[in-house]
Amino acid sequence: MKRYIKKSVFALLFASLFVGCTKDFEEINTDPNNVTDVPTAYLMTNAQRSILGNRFNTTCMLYSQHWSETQYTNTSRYQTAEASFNSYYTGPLADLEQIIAINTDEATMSDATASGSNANQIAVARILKVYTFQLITDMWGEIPYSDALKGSESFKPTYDTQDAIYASFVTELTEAAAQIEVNAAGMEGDIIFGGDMAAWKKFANSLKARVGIRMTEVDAAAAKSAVVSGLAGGFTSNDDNALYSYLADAANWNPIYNHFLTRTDYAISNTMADYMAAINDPRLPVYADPAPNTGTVVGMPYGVSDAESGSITNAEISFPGAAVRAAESPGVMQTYSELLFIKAEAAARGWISDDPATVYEEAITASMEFWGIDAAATADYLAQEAVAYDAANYKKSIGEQKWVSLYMDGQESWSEWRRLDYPELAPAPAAYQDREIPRRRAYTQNEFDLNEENVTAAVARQGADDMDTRIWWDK
Amino acid sequence: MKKIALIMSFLLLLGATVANAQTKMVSGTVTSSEDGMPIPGVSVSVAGTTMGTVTDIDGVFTLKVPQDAKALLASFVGMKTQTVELGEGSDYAIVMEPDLVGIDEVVVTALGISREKKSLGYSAQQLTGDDIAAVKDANVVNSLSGKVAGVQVTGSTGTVGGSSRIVIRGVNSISGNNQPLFIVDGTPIDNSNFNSTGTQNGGGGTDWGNSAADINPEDIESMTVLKGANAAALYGSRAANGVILITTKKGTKRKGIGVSISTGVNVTTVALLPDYQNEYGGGYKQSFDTYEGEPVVNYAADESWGPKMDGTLVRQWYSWYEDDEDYGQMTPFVAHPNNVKDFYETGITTNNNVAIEGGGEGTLFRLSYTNFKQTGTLPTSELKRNTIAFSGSSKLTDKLTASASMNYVKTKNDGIPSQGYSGVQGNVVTSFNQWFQRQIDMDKLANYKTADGVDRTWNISSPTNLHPLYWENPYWVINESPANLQRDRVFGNVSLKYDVLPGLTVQGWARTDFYNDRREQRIASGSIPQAWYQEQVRQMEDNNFEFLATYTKNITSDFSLDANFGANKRVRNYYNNTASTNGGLSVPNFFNVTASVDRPSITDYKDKKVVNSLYGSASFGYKSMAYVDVSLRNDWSSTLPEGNNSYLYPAVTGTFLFSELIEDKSILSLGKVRASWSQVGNDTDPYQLAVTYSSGNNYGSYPAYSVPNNLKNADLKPETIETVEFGAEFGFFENRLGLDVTYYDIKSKDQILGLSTASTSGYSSAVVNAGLITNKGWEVMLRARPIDKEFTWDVVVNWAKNNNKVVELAEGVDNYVLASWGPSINAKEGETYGTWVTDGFTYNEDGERLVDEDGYYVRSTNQTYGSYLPDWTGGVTNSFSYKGISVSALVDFQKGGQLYSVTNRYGEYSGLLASTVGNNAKGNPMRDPVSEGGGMLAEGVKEDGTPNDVYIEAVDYWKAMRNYRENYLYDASFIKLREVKIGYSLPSSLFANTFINGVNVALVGRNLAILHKNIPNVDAESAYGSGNIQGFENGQHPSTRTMGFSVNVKF
Repeated sequence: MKRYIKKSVFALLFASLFVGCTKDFEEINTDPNNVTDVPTAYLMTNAQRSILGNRFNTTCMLYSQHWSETQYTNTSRYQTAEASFNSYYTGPLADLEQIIAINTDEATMSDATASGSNANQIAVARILKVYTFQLITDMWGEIPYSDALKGSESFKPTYDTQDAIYASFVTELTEAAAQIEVNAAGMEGDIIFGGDMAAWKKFANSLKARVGIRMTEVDAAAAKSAVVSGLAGGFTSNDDNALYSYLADAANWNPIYNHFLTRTDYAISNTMADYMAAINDPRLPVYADPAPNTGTVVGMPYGVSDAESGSITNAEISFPGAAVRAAESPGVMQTYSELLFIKAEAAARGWISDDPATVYEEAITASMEFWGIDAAATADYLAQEAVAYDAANYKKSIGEQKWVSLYMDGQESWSEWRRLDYPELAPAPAAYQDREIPRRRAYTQNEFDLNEENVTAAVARQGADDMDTRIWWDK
Repeated sequence: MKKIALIMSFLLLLGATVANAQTKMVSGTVTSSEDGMPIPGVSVSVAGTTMGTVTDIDGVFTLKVPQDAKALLASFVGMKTQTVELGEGSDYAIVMEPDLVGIDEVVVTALGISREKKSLGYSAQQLTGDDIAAVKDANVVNSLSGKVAGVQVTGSTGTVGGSSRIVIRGVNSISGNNQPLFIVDGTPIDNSNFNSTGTQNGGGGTDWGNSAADINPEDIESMTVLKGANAAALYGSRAANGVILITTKKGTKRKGIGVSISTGVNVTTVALLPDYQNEYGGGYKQSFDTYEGEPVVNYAADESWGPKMDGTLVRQWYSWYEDDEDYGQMTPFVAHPNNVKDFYETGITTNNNVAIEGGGEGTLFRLSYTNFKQTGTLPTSELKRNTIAFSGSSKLTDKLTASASMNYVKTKNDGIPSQGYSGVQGNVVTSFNQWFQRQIDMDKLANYKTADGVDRTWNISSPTNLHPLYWENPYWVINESPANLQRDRVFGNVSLKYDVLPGLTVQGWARTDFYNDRREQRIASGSIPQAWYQEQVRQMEDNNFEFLATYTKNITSDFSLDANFGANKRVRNYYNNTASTNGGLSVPNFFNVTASVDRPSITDYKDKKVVNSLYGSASFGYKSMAYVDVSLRNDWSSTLPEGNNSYLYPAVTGTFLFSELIEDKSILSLGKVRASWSQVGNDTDPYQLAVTYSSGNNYGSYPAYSVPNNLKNADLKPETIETVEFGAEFGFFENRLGLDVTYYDIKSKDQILGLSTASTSGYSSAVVNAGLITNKGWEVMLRARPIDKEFTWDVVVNWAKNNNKVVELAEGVDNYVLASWGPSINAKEGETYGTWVTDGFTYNEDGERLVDEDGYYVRSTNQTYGSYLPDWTGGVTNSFSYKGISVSALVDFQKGGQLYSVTNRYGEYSGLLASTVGNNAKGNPMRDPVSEGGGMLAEGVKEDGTPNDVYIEAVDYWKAMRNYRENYLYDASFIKLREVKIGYSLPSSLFANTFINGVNVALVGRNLAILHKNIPNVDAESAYGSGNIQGFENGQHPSTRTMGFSVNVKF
């Protein structure tokens, strides 16, 4: 009997030993597939690529009538109100926030300098955050801003009003420009300026001018102050442009190139093509290829029904030009030409002493140069009556020419149309339920599912959650 | 450590009761009084104990019984339980007489222990191998449909090798696994389903099937469904959702070698296609455009709002192909009502099994080979499965027995189609039912490529540009861009068992479930998407090392004791290596990752998890009248943080047979009440504790890494599921009527879940411990034998209702989005799991739909519309038997549950379905212009309450309808004739002097008819995976019907 008890106890002890060990659990549960530490440069590369990847460039080009849809004409007929801003936050903004955190936390900031000086990294991240947040707020209106990107501290961020967001943009850009150390190590992993901190400083100022000009209708004083200060340190030539370079490999292709590999959904719109053709704009053959049937640029009728668009063949219309839909065609973030249009408007408003007509022509010239038009053709173009600056209606002159020059920067073009109300665009003839051109996009079901209280409060302040409600600066 | 001490003392307490008991071996044969044939599967147990076994295919059993045992009980479904007094001898011949539906049956329970069902304190239901193998379904999960109360099976529709989901007693976990654990001869079988979210929500993907489908029905001896969490103490937290316990056929002691051969052939046909309209063909308007003077179809349109199919001569798509006999010709624009039907074929399934078995003194073995081959209704799709199963045991010494069981399964599934809205290769069904032209002649498409290998499609860009626009020729897709799966799997165990002393045995096992799963997907060069190739190789190893000591003792003649003490170490390793090409293939149709034009995309993933466990259980019996079982288990999991990684959980069950107190059993032959309580702890997946960065494609020479969207949590603790169950069983009139009722109440709390968070926080999800889900329900099983003569009629009805409620989520969070594609399915506080949220109509106080001044419905967003979970489910089996002929029919049903149908949504949007033609309220064709009396009138009232009187064009009406998704949520109730089986055992007298021992023939049919459903055009059952994302119908391949026969010969 004793023998058996001994045996049993031995067996139990054996079993306990065999399962009891938890010493190696921590090692077993260490993820071998992902890293816990990466240079901030890698995050910056990802953030920049993902900003471009998240933009609603095509949608906005359809709203501003640069392009038309060729078959499924839903977006250009304003069918869907909802759009999601989620991946802006989980994508580039989360990465940028982490770059700032790593460069601020005393435990990590010293190691982080391998990717550039702490101040320079923080500055670049702040500038790109403003650029991104402006895309978001200009599309939806009120958005989570000051309470956003805080992870478990706030899983349901509150929404900020746009006046507060815009005020913060100005502060952020001013501080970011000030903290740039041109002579210290620049940002590594930087696709846009290759770590050239002087270029970042100019971009911060140019962006401040963009932020400022947006406020003209609602806070002229703030607008003036931001524009004037931004212009002073902004771009000085097309060499300073903020462009995102796409590459020849599939993972880094320009998405428009990728689209046209398999589909042909977008053509230049008749609105754009007709306007440019009427004033002999030399950029038109760059913007679009000739239609095979006619050998000339023919715009696709904008916003027509599926029945109508279905009867128009691809041979009858003009698709975007080779220059804008190559694999390596750059993504436009902000150009010298845009800054000059802001300057022209500042001059027209009397905020600066320059002659608005001159600056207006400089702006057009910079755009011509950007699109590869020679000086002679530019001069011929500027000599036309229809192109000349109209001091009596500067909004029309600047609005129309800025609209043309902002080709491929869909959202800026749509925003400036909303602010200036020029060019005079007619809504899609076959708009769903006779809708007008959208003034904003609506929040998604997902946001109501996950952050109902705050998004509902924002809607209550801002107005109906549809595409007709005008956002703060759109008066 | 305290917990270990607790368990140790618990077990030592048991050990102290070890006393000197003697056992002896008895064996025998069980035959039927009707024809003298041996009966396999008879439960033989020692009266008054929980010890028992099951007879083999020849009716033979061997059983170790205590020296002082008085009698053996033999029980079998449909037979009277026989009591055989034990004497001096060791060989017993038991003759069974037919009886009513058995309630004295013995079932195989956790750890493979056979027990009298009446002694169980929880709900368990057993099916025999015949129930499962007869139907020859490729997926063993489907064989359970409708047969067990409280078990809900959702099968995929018509693809071979598709997924089936099984859930017992509702959904307990918000984001984790809700399916039961499959155990084959004690070895846990992985039932992973690697379908993408896109596949499951119908967005687009490939349904690769659930991996438990590898279990071969031919080798199954019996299958027990343990519904509650009580088994979890013995199998660990993976069994918290119940256990499907499978016992395979084993060799038996017999003279010579036994051979059995069975063969079956099934024919599968498409059972259900949408109701298409056949009046209007492709296009967006009712007139033809012309090209060079001839009327042309709008080839670019993938909708059927076009001209009437009235025979007008037009240039159809094929007239532009020089190789077509109608090249350059105008042909009549006419309907082809059967175009989609013609695309599908008749599938053939063959199943052949040969098994040999035998056994002499001390050695038993069985070797079986099964060849299963199934071709689908979808051309080119095929599933082949070869299974070799071996089991054997040998008594090395008097006390030491070595056993091994090994299964090798090779599955090959070819021609797996893309599914959902935008599958990688293109889903032909999405085209047929959502984006198509009704006049298309399938015969013209059969020639799918030109001599130069160019895709010939109806959806050409224009007469001068024959490049496919949106849709390829469907035959091109399935022939040129197939997806294939191949899985090699080995599972089984080796064990050593030592009889320490009578009544006490110790046994050790090494178990493995190991598979290598290889998937290839391609897009052929010349397709619309860029040529592409992807290879996914997964390896799964789930190894368990187990130790178990078992002690059995009749303490007095009234008291019995069974005790177990076990230990288990589980080591799971998972590897996934996936590579896919980017930028096209350098050589056309060279399907190899090295052909990638740009740097290929790579996934290199592995994870590991270790769980160590100690457990013990004890069963006490009193006079075959009262039983109490207790169990206790402690797990240590590598996935939880130090300090929280050890967790203990107990279970108690009790049974009381009050009928034992009544002498006269003529009215109440069985009366039993039972109760159980259990708690189960659960861990999580590996690597949920620390933040890591995910790598993206390089930008040139710049590496790119991103902050993950899921926020990890270093403070996780184990989850807990608590179950209370009460049951009562009754047998009346000498068991001709039986009733089994169960009530349960399950609470799952502190769930570890990836909570969806507002993305503006920077994270779209966060791992948290949170939530409380309750499931309360009833299960009823009623059995009756209304006629009990030479002709017998049995009825078994099972019915179950589960009430699920998401009581709370995390603090400050009241909704959890499970998935969305258009509508979302949610775990919403206060609602049932799987609640739909989407847009729909707006109603006034009288429940009428509001219509705006333009004649359109007023749209409401963010509305809640019921859950995908059904209200109740059940099945009715009627069986008849007369002189060796048996007929049985299973009808199963589901009430409630919401299914979202994109086929209906886009089928109407595109004008393909019959609902988009016909007359309007004025009696005029709805597709006529409103100006000529046509159009549609939205049924509803204006804001002022007057009925809507504004007609809108039919095309606008149906196109607008897609934005009211409520319109495409349907009640998924159904009644189906699931299974019919006609069997005949040839009289044994026919083979009296031959070597043949028995011949059975059977005719079987599955999914024969949908007797009732509320959803138009598609099947109410439409699983796209076995996970929690359910209820999305979107381009599923059509449901099928199967009929066949099988022959089984024993030598």
